[in-house]
Amino acid sequence: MPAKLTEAHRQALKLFREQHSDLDGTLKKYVADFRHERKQITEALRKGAGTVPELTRQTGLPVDQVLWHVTAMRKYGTVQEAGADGDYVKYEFIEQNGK
Amino acid sequence: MSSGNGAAMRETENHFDVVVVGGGIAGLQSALDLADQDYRVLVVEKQPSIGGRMISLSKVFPTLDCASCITTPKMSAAAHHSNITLMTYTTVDAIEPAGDNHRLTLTQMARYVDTSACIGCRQCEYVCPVEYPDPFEQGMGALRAISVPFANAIPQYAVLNPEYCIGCGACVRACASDAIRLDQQPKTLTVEAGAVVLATGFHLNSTSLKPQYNASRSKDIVSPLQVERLLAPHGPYGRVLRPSDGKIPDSVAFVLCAGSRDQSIGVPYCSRVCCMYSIKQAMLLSGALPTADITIYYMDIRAFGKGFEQFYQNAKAMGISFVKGKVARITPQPNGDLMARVEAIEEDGRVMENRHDLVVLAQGIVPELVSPERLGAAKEEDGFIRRPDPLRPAWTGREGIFVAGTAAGPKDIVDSIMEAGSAAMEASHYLTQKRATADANAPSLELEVIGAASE
Repeated sequence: MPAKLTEAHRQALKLFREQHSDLDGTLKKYVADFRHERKQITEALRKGAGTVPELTRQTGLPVDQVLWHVTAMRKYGTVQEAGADGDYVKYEFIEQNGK
Repeated sequence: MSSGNGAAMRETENHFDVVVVGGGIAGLQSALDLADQDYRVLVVEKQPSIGGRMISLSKVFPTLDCASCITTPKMSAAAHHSNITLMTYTTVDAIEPAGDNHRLTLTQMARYVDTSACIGCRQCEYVCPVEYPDPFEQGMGALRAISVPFANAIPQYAVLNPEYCIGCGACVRACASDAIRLDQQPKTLTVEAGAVVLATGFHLNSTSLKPQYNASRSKDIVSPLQVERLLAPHGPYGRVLRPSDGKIPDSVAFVLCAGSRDQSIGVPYCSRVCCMYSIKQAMLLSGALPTADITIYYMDIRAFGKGFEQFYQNAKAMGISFVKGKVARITPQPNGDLMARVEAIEEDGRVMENRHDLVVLAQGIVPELVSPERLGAAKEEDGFIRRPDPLRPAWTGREGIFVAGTAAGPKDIVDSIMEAGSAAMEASHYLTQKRATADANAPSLELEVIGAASE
């Protein structure tokens, strides 16, 4: 892994991109924002565990988006809970092997 | 019943004795009841997994059984039944009469995954770089652009959402069984059925229908289906948090009849289950948040079913506060709190302003199927499927077309399952009658022999 793409895969990818060409750039903008926000939150978490309001102050992102990202990262195994601070849960980054 | 019972009707690969439209709890129960009588059944479900609304619930009232623990065996039984064929991610576009039978036009949407090769290992999901708000989690969690829809989905096949896929090909490279098909297209097919059971279910009307509740201004004014996910063991946050900022709520309010029993929003009828699921959610929340204040604002509590009244009394004994009064307005504050303005009917009608962290609006139940006419049935004034004969409550009034569950009106899970059994029995009876008529009209062997001898 990663396996190589065959000619059939390349043809299928080409057709997919043609059929879903994102002409108005909605997806492009969504993905750019998603990556930017995820990167900011990851960087903030690398400095130490934090609650959603703390991470919001550090990143300047909307608070509901911070919650969404942190709990998404928890789902996919890059963040875990680390106790609580008052009414808020603290989250910490899980360093992946070799990264 | 003998194995030959349904066999007489099996003409072609595209012919089924019964097609069940909808793979929720009602549809699955009808399908299982028919398949166990040896009828060949096709279940058509528009979502990528069967299980319907019930598989997303936390627990059921009044027994507090885990909803997914009692739904999953039914889903699994249907998926493994030799007489049941499942078609997920497929819509029924039309049902028309075809001689003695019904012809159904179906559209199988593109999953972009070859289901004969996918083993549900989720390697594609692990490498996918794009996440979006998870519809199964009512938007609160995240799902990757290609993923198995949820942990206990059946079938366990990945599905790609082209709205969020950037076509990077990472999933294609990661798939060990080479199951990703980015060139897959939607397919239209027709099948024939001897009988049809419509089990198309419900959805909740919008929290924004009542502007005085300001649901569009706060993420903490939530729908009961969101609360089900917050309470589910594998929910989006792994615990109960308010969606606006992740605070552990210390005051939760339920507003009953927030989307039903209200002429002004076109839902004059009672949704039948809101009182009980709100009481259930309040009880579960008091377990998950032991120090939180939980209030239920109600017009009247309709605890009509078996064990319901005791359930209500238990909730009161647990310290859940029941306030008789209609909530006039919910106003989000700059600090995120929600102020509920209520006339307390049993306290001389005084007006209270109460602070809450989270407010649940018990929305109205409305039919998922907008045009039953397209599927060979008719609708009542309230939009639910018409059942003209009070002595045959599972019959739509159309030859060979039956209805089960919330497609016919709001009801709880137990009633949906009972109605599903009733629809299955009606369909079975109809098919038996049809076969008997066909047999009576066919020339008998004896007559043929006599005819041959007289020549």
